[in-house]
Amino acid sequence: MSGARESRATAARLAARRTAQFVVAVTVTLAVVGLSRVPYAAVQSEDGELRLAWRFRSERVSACRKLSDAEQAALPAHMRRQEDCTRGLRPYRLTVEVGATAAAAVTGEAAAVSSVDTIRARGAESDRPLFVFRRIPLAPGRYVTRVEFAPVGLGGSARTGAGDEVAGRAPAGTEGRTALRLDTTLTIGPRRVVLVTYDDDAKRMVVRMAVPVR
Amino acid sequence: MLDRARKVLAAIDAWLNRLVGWRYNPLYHSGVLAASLLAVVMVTGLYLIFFWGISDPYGSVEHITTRVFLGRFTRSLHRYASDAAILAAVVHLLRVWLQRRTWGPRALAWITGFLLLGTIWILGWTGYVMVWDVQGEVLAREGARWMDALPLFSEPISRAFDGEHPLPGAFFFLNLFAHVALPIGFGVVFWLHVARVARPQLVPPKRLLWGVVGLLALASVFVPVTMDPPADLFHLPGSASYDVFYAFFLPFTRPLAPGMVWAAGGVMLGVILLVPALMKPKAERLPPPSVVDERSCTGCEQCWLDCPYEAIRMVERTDGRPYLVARVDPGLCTSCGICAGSCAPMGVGPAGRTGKDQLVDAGAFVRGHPLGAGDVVVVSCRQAGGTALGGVGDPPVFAVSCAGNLHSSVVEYFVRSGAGGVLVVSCPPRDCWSREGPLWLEQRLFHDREAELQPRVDRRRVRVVFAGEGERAVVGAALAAFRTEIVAMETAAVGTAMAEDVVDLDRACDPVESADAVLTEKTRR
Repeated sequence: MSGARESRATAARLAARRTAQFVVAVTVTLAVVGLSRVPYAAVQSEDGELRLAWRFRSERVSACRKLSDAEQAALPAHMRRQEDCTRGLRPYRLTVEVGATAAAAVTGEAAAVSSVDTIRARGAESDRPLFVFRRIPLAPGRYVTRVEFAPVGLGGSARTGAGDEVAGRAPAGTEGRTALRLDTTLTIGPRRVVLVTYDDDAKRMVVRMAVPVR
Repeated sequence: MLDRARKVLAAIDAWLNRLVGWRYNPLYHSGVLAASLLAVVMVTGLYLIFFWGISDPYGSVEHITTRVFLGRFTRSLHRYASDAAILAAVVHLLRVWLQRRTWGPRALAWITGFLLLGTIWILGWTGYVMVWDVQGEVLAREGARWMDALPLFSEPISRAFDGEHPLPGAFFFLNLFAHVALPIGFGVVFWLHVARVARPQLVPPKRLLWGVVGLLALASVFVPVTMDPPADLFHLPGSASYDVFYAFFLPFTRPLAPGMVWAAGGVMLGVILLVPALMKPKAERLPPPSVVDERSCTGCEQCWLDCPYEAIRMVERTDGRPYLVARVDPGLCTSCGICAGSCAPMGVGPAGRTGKDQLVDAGAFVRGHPLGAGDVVVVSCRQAGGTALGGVGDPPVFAVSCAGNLHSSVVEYFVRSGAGGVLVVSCPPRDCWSREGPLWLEQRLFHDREAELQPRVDRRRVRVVFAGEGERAVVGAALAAFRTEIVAMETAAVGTAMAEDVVDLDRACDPVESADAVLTEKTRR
């Protein structure tokens, strides 16, 4: 009698153990599944973005000066030369003015974003193409926007990658380059990106709101 | 703090042992589970790669999910097995760290283990980018942001995602290359990971393996993976799915400047690489490596066979005797002492833990705790549950550094000193800090492995129980049951000669005398 009771108790214990094993196994599996897909707010705010991105082949400039007799004498014989030249791509100045929303602009409200930067060519020889890459978060709305990309010291002085103020001398065919300018009103939607870029075919700045088709 | 954390781990182990038994405790098999799950990932990945396209990553994954035969299932299993693999790998790493098994000869396994973990993590990252949904875009952008902080590129690689041009196919090709090529290097690092281990176990018990894979397969059927919306370079991702196992860093790193991320990552990496040095005991507490007493060595090669870390070589003798002699490489020896238990003539082992030393200690133990016919001596590995005994009515415990370190002569000595029985408490085999201690112990006591327990010892008086640090109750129950058996045996044996009493013992094996002789010899030396 007690033997039967004992075997019933053993069976019950075994069943309880099996149930616990099942519950633990399922719980752990579901935890793995759940933790592999936790919702995550990658961007918290509703702000959109004005993105300025382009690559630009600037003109090559060089700045030369005559070496004095004393300077030449100081050089080894095989390195003596008349002129000392610094070469590189011409830097450009990027001016960005994103006004207050178009409606507010009438009232003379201050610009939301205003910046001036000099874009210089990278690389040891300052000969990598210039590139612009700016991301400006903006609340949804309409913005009066002005973007200007102007060669620095065209026809006058230019700053090379080495930081010396030198006389600009553009190669043939590039002297006529003028500033690129975009004046427009942009509508920024919630979490939307508006891209201002340079269209190399049209030689002007353009606004894009979707990836171009390949 | 580390010891407190280890006790928590021991409590979890104990609970799982009660639930599934120590043979199938997944925490004991975390390392091999990770390796096996990665094999599942590779097999499923091989199938998926046939259908994935560089020109339209999102579209091809969508095609796999909706149109390819078993595509959704395979993709789900691929991901869930990857997640489970990283979970198992982290558990394995935590175990090793908490058990302080990271320094000395184990440093290589620690460092290569981290290399493997890092590789798995990068594989997961590139895998998510291959889907090229919002989650993939978030991860790709974050990676690009970090890379841009390094002085490696003439232009920020984040520009690839600025929308000026379609994303170049080269990006996905490089990503695919990393995702597929890294597992090839994986094999080399894995080989290094187990290079210092004599007999690495590479697969978990079949029931455990198929149980885990079966559960993940069921999850793949009933809760298959989904896809976020496709990546859109002109739409900032509001919310994305987030795989905690592979993208755990996102909430921490996104608000930080990339330089800070690199600095924090560098500090963490430095600490991890320094763990072997930081965990190494100070010189005065450093366990000594084994040494060989060449006069006693008979060249039987058993220590060479039993050493779990291949720290012993057999070399030519210089004294002209016609057999080899064991030589321990101190740089590879972890001082587990298993060789001491494997040497019948007691000629090898770490100082203070050789068979001879154990007999001396056992002699002192018997003198301090006179044994009666119904008494049970508990011999416990220091890491096992036996050392936790000490309550009222509990027997004194004779502790050894590892169950595999225990010389069978000590067991015989206790029995012949009058103990009713000897209960040897060992860590469960897969939780042995010295890898193979419980295995060799059991074979020496019950299966005549060299340095075996002599046949004259009644095996009914010897019992081995596997119990981890947190399993005092298991030891208590085994002890109570064993005591009952011993008492019953003693009662039945009244008036009849016990097995060991009828054996003709020679003087050399007289335990008290031989222990005293060893003691005298040691003192003389």
